[in-house]
Amino acid sequence: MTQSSFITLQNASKSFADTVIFKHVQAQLSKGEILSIVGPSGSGKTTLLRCLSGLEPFSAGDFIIDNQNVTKLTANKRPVSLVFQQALLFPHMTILDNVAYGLTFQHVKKKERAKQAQELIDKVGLKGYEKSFPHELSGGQQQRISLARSLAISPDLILLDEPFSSLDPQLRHEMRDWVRKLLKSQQMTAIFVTHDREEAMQMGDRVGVFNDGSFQQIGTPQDVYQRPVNPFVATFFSDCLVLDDHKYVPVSHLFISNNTSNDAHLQLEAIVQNQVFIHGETFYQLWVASMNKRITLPSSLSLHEGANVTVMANAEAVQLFPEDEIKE
Amino acid sequence: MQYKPRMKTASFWFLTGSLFLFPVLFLIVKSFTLPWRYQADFHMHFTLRGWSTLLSENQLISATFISLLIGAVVVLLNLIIGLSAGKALAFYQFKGKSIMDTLFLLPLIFPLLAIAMGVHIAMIRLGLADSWIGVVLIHLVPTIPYSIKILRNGYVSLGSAMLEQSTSLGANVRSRFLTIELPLLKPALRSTIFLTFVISLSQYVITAIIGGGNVVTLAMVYFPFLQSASSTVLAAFSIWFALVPILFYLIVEIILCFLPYQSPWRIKT
Repeated sequence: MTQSSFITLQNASKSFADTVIFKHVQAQLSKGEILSIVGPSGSGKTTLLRCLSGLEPFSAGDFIIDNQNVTKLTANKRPVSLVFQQALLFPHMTILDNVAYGLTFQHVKKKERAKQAQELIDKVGLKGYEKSFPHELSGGQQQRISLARSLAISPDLILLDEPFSSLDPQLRHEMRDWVRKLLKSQQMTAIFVTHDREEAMQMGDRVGVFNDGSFQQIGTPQDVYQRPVNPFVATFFSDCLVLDDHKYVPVSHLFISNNTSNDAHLQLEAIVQNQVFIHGETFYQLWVASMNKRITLPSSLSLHEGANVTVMANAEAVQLFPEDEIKE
Repeated sequence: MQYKPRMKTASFWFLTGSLFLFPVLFLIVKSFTLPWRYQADFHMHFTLRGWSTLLSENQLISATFISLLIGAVVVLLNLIIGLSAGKALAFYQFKGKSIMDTLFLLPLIFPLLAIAMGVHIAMIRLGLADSWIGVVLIHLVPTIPYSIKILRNGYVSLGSAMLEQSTSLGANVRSRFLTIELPLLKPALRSTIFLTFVISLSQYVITAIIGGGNVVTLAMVYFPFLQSASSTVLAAFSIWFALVPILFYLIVEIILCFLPYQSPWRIKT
């Protein structure tokens, strides 16, 4: 535990009967930092978030916020707020009442509650909707109010559980940037859970790749992307071709050729499956039968579906996973 | 076959008029007129005899209050049991849940009379026979299964996430119940309240068995009228009988207005 850490999670574990959901999870966050937790479905990241919020108890471990052990505190007493996948606005309350809801339990006077809620509604760009009811707002607007409602109680930590998953792709992109700016402007410490690595990179100051009930690697998005510590991170988060349990090649160092070459260190036979066009470039999806893997590579070559090609890399492109997997 | 909007409106009013408005109006008119005779000239002779006979019935007012009291207590117990059992069945996973679910429905499967006869002996031993508390308890038998079903469905459609969101924002169990659960369960609560009240109000046989004639509810006064009194008096009594749940409905609606975050001036979905 470092001196500067505001949030500390020590040896946190959770099991349901005989099923272990996560074990010995360690994490630290400094004040105002956003950590993205990214992992495949069923990896245990949502359960971790529920345990952090207090909706589920930890089976073991300690959860410390600002030097106070909050592990035993019930969800309503924890200085933690959770934003769910769905906006979950209370349909019988106006937008103002929704945002002010949490403040009623902090014994804030009615006038002050309304004032604070109004300020947040203005901040999330929904001035004029105070007296509206949730069903009168669009999905994106509802999610913004949901966030404002969680921010209203001034939690020490805000947890966001895939809050954009129910929005359309265009809106999702806009919301990511907007939410990050809002959280930063409020100097809010946040944990953001997603299964989308692009979203994780965009939202988090650091990302934690979560799988099999533990963090595989935590670091800045660039660090985790460029220096994955194990085959799972290399496959799930980075764009790498994992050669075996010890070696990988970043796809940026791979290239496609129509012929074989004696100079290349790595040469793999592949079949062109299809092509996609992204950001003005042509990408080919290739099937590498010898490794039973599919990779996507850019190329200026004009290739047709079913063509036999060779995927190559130089000797210096092959990299090793660190022997002592540094998981921070 | 496609209906035009005007056709739809016409059929709506025809059905409402013939199946609902006409019988009610007919009953009201009937309570103020002498019995009509077939094969005689159709003349309506207005009279207040029906209502004066009804109001001169000694036990009418006390029976109405007893029915209201028993109905209100039955409703209250139904709400307490229905809300807790419904919530448990909606949100918790436990061994024997499906068996429990079936057991809750059993009172509807067994003949009520058989249950009442069996329970009567127990009630005598416990000193609850011939008392209004005993009648309240026996009225729970035909009402509880409905309450649990309705409120369970209410909780299922509410969803656990909504309640968790409230907790995450700082609400304790009590605040959450008052500010989220009760207001959002209002449609289910309404159904439960009126269904159980009307069932309780209409019970004759089990009230007679357990009440032993000491507990005189409105149904106990009403049923003997079926054989003896004239149709004018019976019509007046039927209206009186129907007014009791309407009065109860108004009281309940006023109470529901006091739930948190209620705005009678806005329509919400």
